[in-house]
Order: sequence, then C-alpha cells, then structure tokens
Amino acid sequence: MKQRTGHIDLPLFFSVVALMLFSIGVVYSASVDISRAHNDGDYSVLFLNHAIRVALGLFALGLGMFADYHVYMKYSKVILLLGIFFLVLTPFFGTTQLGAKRWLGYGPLKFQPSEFAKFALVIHLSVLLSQKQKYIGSLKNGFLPLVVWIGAVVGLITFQNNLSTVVVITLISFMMMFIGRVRVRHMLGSAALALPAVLVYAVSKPYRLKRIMDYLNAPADLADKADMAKSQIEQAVIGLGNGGLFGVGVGMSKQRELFLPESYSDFIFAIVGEEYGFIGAVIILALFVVVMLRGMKIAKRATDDLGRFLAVGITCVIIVNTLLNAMVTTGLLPTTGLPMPLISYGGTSILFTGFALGILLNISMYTRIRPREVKADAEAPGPRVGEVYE
Amino acid sequence: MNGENLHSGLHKNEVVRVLQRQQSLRRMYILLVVFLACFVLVGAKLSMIQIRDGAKLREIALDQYQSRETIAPVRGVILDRNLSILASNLNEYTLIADPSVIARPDTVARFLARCIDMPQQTILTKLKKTDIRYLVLAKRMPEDAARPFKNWKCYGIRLRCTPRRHYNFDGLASSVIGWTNVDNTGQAGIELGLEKDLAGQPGYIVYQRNANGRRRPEVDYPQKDPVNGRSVVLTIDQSYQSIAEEELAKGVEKHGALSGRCIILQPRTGEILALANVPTINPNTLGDYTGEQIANAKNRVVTDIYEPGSTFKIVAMSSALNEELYTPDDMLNAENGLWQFSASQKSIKDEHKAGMLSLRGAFINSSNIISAKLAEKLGAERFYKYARNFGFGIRTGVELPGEVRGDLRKPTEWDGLTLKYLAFGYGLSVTSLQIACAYAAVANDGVLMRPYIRKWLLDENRNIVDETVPQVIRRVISSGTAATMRGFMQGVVDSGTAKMARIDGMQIGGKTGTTQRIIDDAYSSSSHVASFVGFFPVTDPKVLILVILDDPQNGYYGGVVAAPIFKEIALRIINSSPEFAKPAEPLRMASDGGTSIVPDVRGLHVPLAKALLAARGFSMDMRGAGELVTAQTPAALTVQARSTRVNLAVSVRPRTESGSTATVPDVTGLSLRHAMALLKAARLEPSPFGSGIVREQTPKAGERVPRGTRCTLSAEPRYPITANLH
Repeated sequence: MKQRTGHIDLPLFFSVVALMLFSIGVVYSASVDISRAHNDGDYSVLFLNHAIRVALGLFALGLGMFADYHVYMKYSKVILLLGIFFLVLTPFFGTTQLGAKRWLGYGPLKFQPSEFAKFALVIHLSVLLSQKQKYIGSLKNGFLPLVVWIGAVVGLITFQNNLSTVVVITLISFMMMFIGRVRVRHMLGSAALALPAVLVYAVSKPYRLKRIMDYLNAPADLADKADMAKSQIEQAVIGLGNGGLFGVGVGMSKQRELFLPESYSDFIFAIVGEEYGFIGAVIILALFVVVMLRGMKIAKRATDDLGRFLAVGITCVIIVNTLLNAMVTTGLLPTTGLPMPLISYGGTSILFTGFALGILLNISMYTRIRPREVKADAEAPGPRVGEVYE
Repeated sequence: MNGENLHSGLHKNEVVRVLQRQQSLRRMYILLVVFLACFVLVGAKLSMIQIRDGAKLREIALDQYQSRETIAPVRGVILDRNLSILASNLNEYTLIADPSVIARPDTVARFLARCIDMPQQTILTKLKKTDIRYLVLAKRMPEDAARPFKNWKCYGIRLRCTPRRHYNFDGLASSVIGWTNVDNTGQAGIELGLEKDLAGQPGYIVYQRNANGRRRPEVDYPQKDPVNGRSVVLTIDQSYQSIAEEELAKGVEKHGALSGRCIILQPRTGEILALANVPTINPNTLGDYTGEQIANAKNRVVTDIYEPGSTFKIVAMSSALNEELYTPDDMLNAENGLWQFSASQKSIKDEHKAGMLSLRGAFINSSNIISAKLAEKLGAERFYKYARNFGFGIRTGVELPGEVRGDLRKPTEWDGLTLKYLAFGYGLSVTSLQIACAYAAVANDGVLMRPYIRKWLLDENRNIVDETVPQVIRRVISSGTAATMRGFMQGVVDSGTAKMARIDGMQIGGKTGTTQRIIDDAYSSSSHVASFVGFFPVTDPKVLILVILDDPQNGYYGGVVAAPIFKEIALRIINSSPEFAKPAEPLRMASDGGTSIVPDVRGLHVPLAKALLAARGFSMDMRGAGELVTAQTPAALTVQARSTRVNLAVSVRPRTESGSTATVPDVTGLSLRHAMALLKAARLEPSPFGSGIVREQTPKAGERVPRGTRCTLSAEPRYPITANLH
C-alpha cells in the first residue's frame, strides 16, 4: 500500500517558496521605519533577521520533506508532551514582549511555545485519529482522549492570555476531529459546554471586551471619525484603501510610517494591499488558495489515514491563520494578534510553518495505488457511510 | 453491520475503511467549501475597500500623512499721498503648551515664569495636567514679549503668530481706511474696497506627518509661496485729513449736530485729499464699540443720501447761463419772496425777499423763486440732462465700498411741481460726494472729473504697479459759464449767504445749503441739514471743501453752521501748505563772507534762476541766449563761497531749426517736470515713466543725438518708500 513515488507536489512547493520570498520584500518595506526608529537609524535590522529566518524556514521545510511522516506515529506523544512542558515553563521562565509572556529561550533560540504546541498537537491529533478510526464514534474511547489533549494545550495557552492562539488551536482541532469522523454531536455538545467559559474569558479583561465593542460599533464611514486616534484596524483599512487597485508602489507604503505599529507582523497584509494594491493582495490570497487546494489534494491522495489527517491538519493550520489574519486586516473580524503564515515577520511561525509544509510535501511523495479504481469502488452501489456506522 | 449488502469482491475490513475514507473526504469537501467561501468573502471585502472606497480612504490617508498649512500673505499697507503709513501690520503671538509631551515641567515652568505674567507655581500646576494637549499660556503677546520663545526649542511649547492690522493714527480717516476682522479680511472702507489688492494670495506648504504628529516638509510635495498684498497709496493727505476731522468734530460739538461730513477735493484732478466723518471710531480698539456705533461710523459721504437744497441751485443757474437763456445781469421778478402759483395753493418762499433780482443777485441770495423760474424756462428735459451731466443720480465710481447712486427721477415720472422744487434741491437725493464733484466741475472750468482715492498700487518691492490717472468724465458747462459761476460763488462768500466763510487775502467761492430733514415722511421744521461747499482760490481753484452737518441745534443755516467750519479748515490749509504760502522775501545774508549751497536752477526761467541765486548770495554769468537755463557750474547742491559767480548756459525753447544735433543734458536727480523742461529746451522729446525724481535716463547724459530724439526718463517717488511694508 505504501509506495514512495519520489515526486513532490510541485505547485505546492513553488507557491510556498514564492510566498516566502515575497515575504522578504514585504517585511523589508514594512519594517524599515520601525527598524530605523528603534535601531539608531539602521533600517535593515528587522529585515536581515527576517531573511535569516526565511532561510531557516526553507531549511526546516527540507527537513520535514525528507523525514518519513510515519516517524511521527512513534514520537508524536513525546513531542506534544514536550510542547506542554514548554507551555508550563513559559509563565515562570518566559520573556515578556509587548505585554505578554509568550516567549521561551534566550537570544537566537527564543521561540513561542504556543506555536510549537500548535503543530505538536496537530501531529498528535492526526496520530490519535488514525489510530482510533475504528471506534471514533465512541465518546469514552474516541472523543474524550482527544479532548483531554486539546484541553491541556488550550488551557495552558489561555493562561498566557493568548486569545487568538486559543481560538486558532480550538478551530483547527475541531476541523481535524470533523475530518477525523468524530461525531458532530460530540463536538457540538462539548462546544456548548465550553461556551459559558469562553464568554467569561472574553469579558474578563477590559481590552478584550473593548476590541469586541470596537468591532461591533465600528462606524460605517471612517471619515465620520473625526479624532485622529483611529484604531489599528481602521488604519489597516485606510492603508488598503490607499493602495487602491494597483497599489502605491513597492516600498512606498505610507501607512507603515508608525500608523500601523505592527505593520511587519500582524498587519502585514495591509502593507501588501497598500503597496501592491488589490491585485497584489489577491495574488497573495490566490497563492494561499493554491496551498489549500494542493494540501487537500494531498490529503485526498494520501496512502493512509495518518497521511490524510496530517495533510488536512497542516493545511488547516496555514489556511485558518491566513484567513483569520486577512479577515482581521479587512475588518471582518475584531482585532487579534495573529501573524500571516509565511508572510509575516516572526521566527517561530516561519520555522514551524516551513517544517509543517515539509511534512505536507513528504506526504505528497506517497501516492495511493490505483486511486481511480478505488474511486470506482466507492461509487458502486452500497450502503451510505452514515447508514454503515449509525 | 449490514454485512449482506457489502460488495462481493472486497474484504469486509477493507470496505469499512473505504467507506470511512469516503466519509472523511466528504467532510473535507465541506471544509474546503467553507474555506473557499471565506476566501471569497475576504476578496469581496478587499474589493470594497480598495476599489469602491479607494478614493475616499485615500483622502483620509493623505489627511493623515500630510498636513497642508497655508502661509498667509502679508497684507499690503495703506499710505497717504505723502507716503506716511496709515495702516500697517503687527504680529501678535499666542503661547501654546502641550503638557502631555513636556519632559521637564518644573524647568519649563521656571523659564516661563520669567517671561510671562504668571506665577511659576500656577504654570507648573497647569503643565502637570498631562492629559491636556492644548493649553494657551499667553494670548496677544506683542513681538517683544514673544522674542524669548522664538529661539527656545522646547518640545511641547510653541508660538503661534497671528498678523493683526494696526492703524498708526488710531481713528484718523477710519471711515475711509476702514478696518479688518480677526481673520485680517477687510470689513469696511478701503480695506474692504481694495481687499483683493491688499490681501494678496496665500501660499501653502505640505508637511509629511507620522503618527507621533511630528512633521517634516517634503521636498517633492507641492509648495507655493504666498504673494504678498499690494500696498495702497491714497490720495488722502494726512495733514488735510486731520485738519478736516478736528474742525468738523469741533463744529459738530459746537452745534450739537447728529453727525457731520467733510470732503476735501482737488478739483483739477478729482483726487480726494480728505474725507471726514463724525462720529467716528478707532479701529485699533474695535472691540470697545457697540455694533450700532460701528455701523454709524460708516463712510456716510458715499453711503448716505440727503436732499441737497440750495447747493443744487448750480444746476438751474449754470445750465440757464450755459444755454444762454439769460446773461448774468438779466433781471427777473423775485415776487417779493412769495411765489403763489395760480393753479394751486402751493407756493415757493424766499428768505431774502426781493422784487427784481439779477441772476447774479438771485444766486448770491439763494433765491428759490428765481431758481424755479430758471428751471421752468429750461424745461424738464434740459434740466434733467444737465443734472445728469453734473453726475447726479449716477455713482461717481470712487473706489470706496457701499457707494449709492442717489435718486434723480426721470422727467416722465415728474408731476407739475417736481421741476420747480428740484430747481432748489428738493425732491431728489444725492450723496455728499456728488455735490462735491459737481462743484469741482465748476471749479475745473466746467469739466467733471471722476473722484478717486487710490493713487498708486505698490508691490512688495515698492514699485508702482498701477497708477490712477485723473479721468475726465465729461464737459458739463462751457469754460466761460464756469468762470461766471465761480464769480457768482465768490459773490456768495463776499456779500451773500456765506459771509462767514470769508478769509482775508484769499478769493473764495462757494454756496450754502439748508434743507429740512425728512422725519417720518414729512419735512421737519426743526431738523435741518446745513451744508457749505466752497473752493479757493477762485481764479485757479486748488482745494474744494464740502462741509455738511446733520441736525445742528444752535442755528441751522448752512451759512451760519457749515460755512465757519469751512473757514477754519481753509485757514489751516492755507497756513500750512506751501502751495498757498506768500512768496518769501529774499533771504538776507548775515554777512558778505561765508559759504552757501548753490541752488539747482537748471530748467528754470532765467529771472527765477537769477532770483534764487541772488537769495543765496551768488551772482551769475550767462552763456547763450534764451529763456531757460540748461546747465550750471559749479554744480547744483555744492557748497561754494558766496562770492562765486555761477555760470549758466541758457537756451531757447525749440522754436526754429538750428543745427540738427543736441547734447543730452544730465537730468538725473531732478524732478520729472524739471527734467522734461530741460529736455524740451534741448529740443529732445522726453518720454517719462513713473513720477517724482528722475533716476535713470536714456540716452545717457552728454551724448550727442539728433534733435527730437526720444529720451526715456524713469522716475521714482520723491520720497523713497523706505517704510517697512511688512
């Protein structure tokens, strides 16, 4: 059944490399002013950091690509336990940055444990789902063990006040369980149980409530807002609007001039839209759509359940992050601090995303034998899936 | 579970796995659709933001990045005819603090306390309110007080400069000059009438701005320098103006009048030398007046109308003479002071009752009856034509805002009595300026001039960019009729109704007017308008003065109320201006020895040159024959011993051809008139530019050129305009 064909998915590979290279350019122009402001006029500090990280990301991609993904079957639990261990350490040994304790390590080895845990959880969930396929409908043996792992990770990240990552991990986990055939009933039930806790959490900090209220009360017309203190999201929208159809030109962004304090990370998409216009922004989105379609294709053609779930999980991580970031930037969602995968400045994200995409490419090297034949089988008259298992 | 239905060829477990995979894939498609929908949503929102709202957001963006600051132009100043500055500009400063960014409030407060009138502790308390971003520490600071802050670079403290108009002589000529509002925009008078010239064009500078609010000018951003306003030189003479205002105010007070107006005109040119209104205000302290007081301080000379009364009699009289209906000595029946018309109960009365009166006598004694008879004789059409020709019912076109036309109805709208009443100035309304101009026409040999008040426009480099030249409107009456009328008017002052305007040694011509004011649609017997208009000297009128008082209390006749004010003004003008000074006695030298300055006699007639030189103790030798001095040695304005003989080259006016070339004389430094006389004497054709003193000439002095060559002279005002125009 398992047969390594040696062919990687080229559209996926080139899309990813294109996005990574693109990110070097965008980060450069988005970070010039901030870099200059914080580094005694040296405008290249953030850019060089980023270029090195992109290189490391490509290296991680290669690493993931050449490691047989079945290896994770054996080590996924250890990896996730390590991730949880890091998360536990963070509140005690973490570094504070931008008001949140989210970093662990020192100097060049500094990383975000939540990012690590996110990917570790995706891998371990894939392993668990593939192992539990026979009894996945069972609450006790199928669903609950998954929830325990997810709960552990989400709970620990909640302690870091990292709402956006909590949301992302929860979403991805539910998507994976959905694809992994967990009963919808179980998922809805657990969501209903968790809802009051989520609400309490959302209003427990005034800034969270404010963000939500800002989002709900956003004026229809920005020009009506006379005061200069426009929120970041409004600044992002202004930046996008300023770009228009064709953009203001490479390196010509005005909005990055300290109007968007995080233009090189969370709001990089606004700079893309401003400098490269609607066309540039749509091209970036299209590259992500390619990544998504190829990821799903790889999942569909994966030779086993683990490959499929891993492929879906990794695709979900990238697409959910991308969509949430783009939706925040365009004002479709309230402000949360999420980087855009592959594009934003940020070492941990690029490194792990690169590695994860490497895994995805590795999965693409294994192709199902006679997929057409199986498809023909599936279309043969027979019981519906629902009937079989209900 | 339903084992019987399983496909035959496959193992059970394998089938289950295939089905499980099918379910999983189906769920994947659902997820894919959700993802794609989200992408479409983002794309749609992007197109809304970037394409639909792009232009609007771009504007907001520009608003954030750029701040466009207008640079106010410097408003032009207003000067009188002798270039004395009447309205200038002052800078006022506002000291503003932004406590939220001041790093060391205690140090800043200590410094501030030394410079502004506020205790250090109070300042400190204010500066410590760091939630305030805009705090005014001192307002309306003059230049001196603001100086310490100009070079003090303290982040969070800044000065804002506001230009403010300053009227150098307070209320002097305020109704003419007018005033500006807080935005430095003209609100009245010349400030309003010539706003366009005075204001200039604002420039702007575009700053790049970042989120911290700091700004820097961008090289490639548009920038436009302001065009500073033009300065206006008025025909007003500051000394005449103050004489007129003082004497008018005295007269108004003496007679308890409601208000007063005075115009001084140069009849030959139409230049307005003074325009006085009482009551008036001081525009430097505009805030101290009520709205009513400000409204009353308007320039009533052009904005208010009144019934002219007897002053209007020049129309009937001069047109009757001009049409040669009568001679000045023809006798007419004055009806013993009461002319009852047969047709109606209406009558016309004269104050001075007489049986028969000559035209001259009728004018001197201001006979209403004779005026009416003259008008009847003229007929409506002719009378109307003359009245229009004198400028009644038409705006004079002076550069003052708010001028009204007055009301002179057409003959078709008249009834049987209108003409008779019009003849002595009832049944129409005029502005004071119209009356002044009509009399100026008589003084100017019958030619009506357009009155003007804007002499020159100067640019910021003090060059004359526009000059108003005297403008003839029309000939109203013949020069002979005008001379006769001037004789009549002299009679009015010498022996008629205006004896109180007489000044010994000066021939004055004039006419009084006394009108009942209309109060509640009826002529009031207790409220009058008293006026007198006169000019001097009668043979060559140089100054025309009109004085009008509204509702005087002690006496109401123009000859009693207005004429004495005229006299006071005229006396002071005559005594103060060199134009009327009696020829000075030759100066006696203290001794034979010593030195003196050689006067400049070039261009003068020989006898005058001789007199001037003699007055300084110089004797002279002449070369050549003729009437005009063309050159002198030693040079003019050098100090020489008194015994020096001054050699004069004398030439004749170009009368006959003798020789075909001429030497260009050096005329720089001479007055334009003087220079032109010299050039003409040298049989050259002068071509003047500007006025005042000749600064440059082409061809150069000493060159030999063909006779009749055009010599260009460029002249500048006599007094270099060194006034600070900023």
